[in-house]
Amino acid sequence: MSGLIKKDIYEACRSGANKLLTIITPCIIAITMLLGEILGRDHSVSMVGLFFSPLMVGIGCLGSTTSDSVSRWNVYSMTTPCSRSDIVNAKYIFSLICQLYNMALHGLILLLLYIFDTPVSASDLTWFLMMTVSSTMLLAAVFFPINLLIRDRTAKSVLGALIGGIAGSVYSIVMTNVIDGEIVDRKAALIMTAVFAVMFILSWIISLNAFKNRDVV
Amino acid sequence: MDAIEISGLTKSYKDFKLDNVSLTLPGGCIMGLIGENGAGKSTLINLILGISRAESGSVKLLGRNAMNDNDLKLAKEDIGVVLDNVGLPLSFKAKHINDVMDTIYKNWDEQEFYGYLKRFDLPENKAFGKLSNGMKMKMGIAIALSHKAKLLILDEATNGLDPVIRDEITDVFNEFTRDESHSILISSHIVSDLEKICDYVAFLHKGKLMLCEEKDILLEQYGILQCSEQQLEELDHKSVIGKKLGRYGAQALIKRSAVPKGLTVSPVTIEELFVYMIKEEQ
Repeated sequence: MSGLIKKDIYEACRSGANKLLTIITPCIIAITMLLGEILGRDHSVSMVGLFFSPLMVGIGCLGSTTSDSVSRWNVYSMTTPCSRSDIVNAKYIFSLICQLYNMALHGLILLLLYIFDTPVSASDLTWFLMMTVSSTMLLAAVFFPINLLIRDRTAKSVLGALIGGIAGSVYSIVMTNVIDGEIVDRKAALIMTAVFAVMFILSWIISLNAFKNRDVV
Repeated sequence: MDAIEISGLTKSYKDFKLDNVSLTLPGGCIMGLIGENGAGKSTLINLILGISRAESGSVKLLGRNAMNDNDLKLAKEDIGVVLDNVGLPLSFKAKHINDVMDTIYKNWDEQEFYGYLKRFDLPENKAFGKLSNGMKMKMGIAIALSHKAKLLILDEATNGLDPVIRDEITDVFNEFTRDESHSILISSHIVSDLEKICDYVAFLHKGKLMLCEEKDILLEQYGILQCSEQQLEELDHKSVIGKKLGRYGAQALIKRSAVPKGLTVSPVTIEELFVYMIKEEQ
């Protein structure tokens, strides 16, 4: 299983599109946020980076399943000494690694803001937790089962778009709780984050069970 | 210990059925799995490796039950596989492939891997996606041979390679089987390649196993008879496996034991055996 995770990490660092989504762009956004704060820009504008950047990392993480289909690694990995459970677990653990990267990158920014005497509020911390956790977990919870269990590309695209729309609606509802860059109801936001975490775990269990008897080809 | 034991393997699709296939690959032997396009060779290999799930039947690989995921995982440590499409990440270079495979396989041998890269003239600093189809196949073969595998399963692995490289790969397979505990299952519709190296031959046609026999026994048992149509009619029909009627007489694939004295039987190749059997079936 560790070999499968290593493969995903290497690919995130090597594949052009994945590298852009998971590494380069989030770093640029994080640096921009930091510079914005140091130069005295509106705090709420700077914190927008905490919305887009983790989302990009979350989408980049999903790119690993797409490139598996394109390269046919999804078939090749079945010839290696990795069980079907290993294949599913590797994907979800990789998304957790992306989440840790998210948290480390943006946690560092918040720490630097604190060091530069920029006020970091409880709202900022809630926002940080919610976005870095939910962006990877919600996306993985929705899209990993689709990619693992559905072969037909059209069906995958349609279902992915429908569920992506639902995920977008959820985010919109979350954003109604944000006024002038501040989260109004922090309790609701944390509950929402917990819900996404539960969805992630349920998705993991569903994928493990459903992939057991699935024809990969 | 037999390398592969398959019993009653069945899988149905909308317009195809792999029907009750049973065969055994003894340890230390090479078996050629021959069949026309769409015969079910890849389906059978996918079922053996657990890529697709069988409806019924059993598979044992190197003594382990391949229908059990944990046993199959352990068996795959000793199995090198090359499918018709080598599915490695397109951005990976040799060192990334080496790193990942080193983590996946317990017995990965880095020196051996780079040795095969050199032998097959594969560039170390070129991304896998930028290699030609032949080079991708050679990379797949290099990986399959670099973790001390005891069984190689090759699905159309030499198709698309030029004759020089195919000859080189055949030498590599011959070296592999010098160790008597090593076995190979190789599928192809290029029968002439398989004829050179195989000990056993299995014919698949429309999802059914037509025969599975030692190559030498097949070549001893069968021959090509050139005779007139009348002479052909006089023979035991059960011994005539297939026939071609021409302007100057008939050619028949026949069991040597059924040929009366006075008639000459020429040696048959595996390819001819296969073609006659399929045509007769059709």
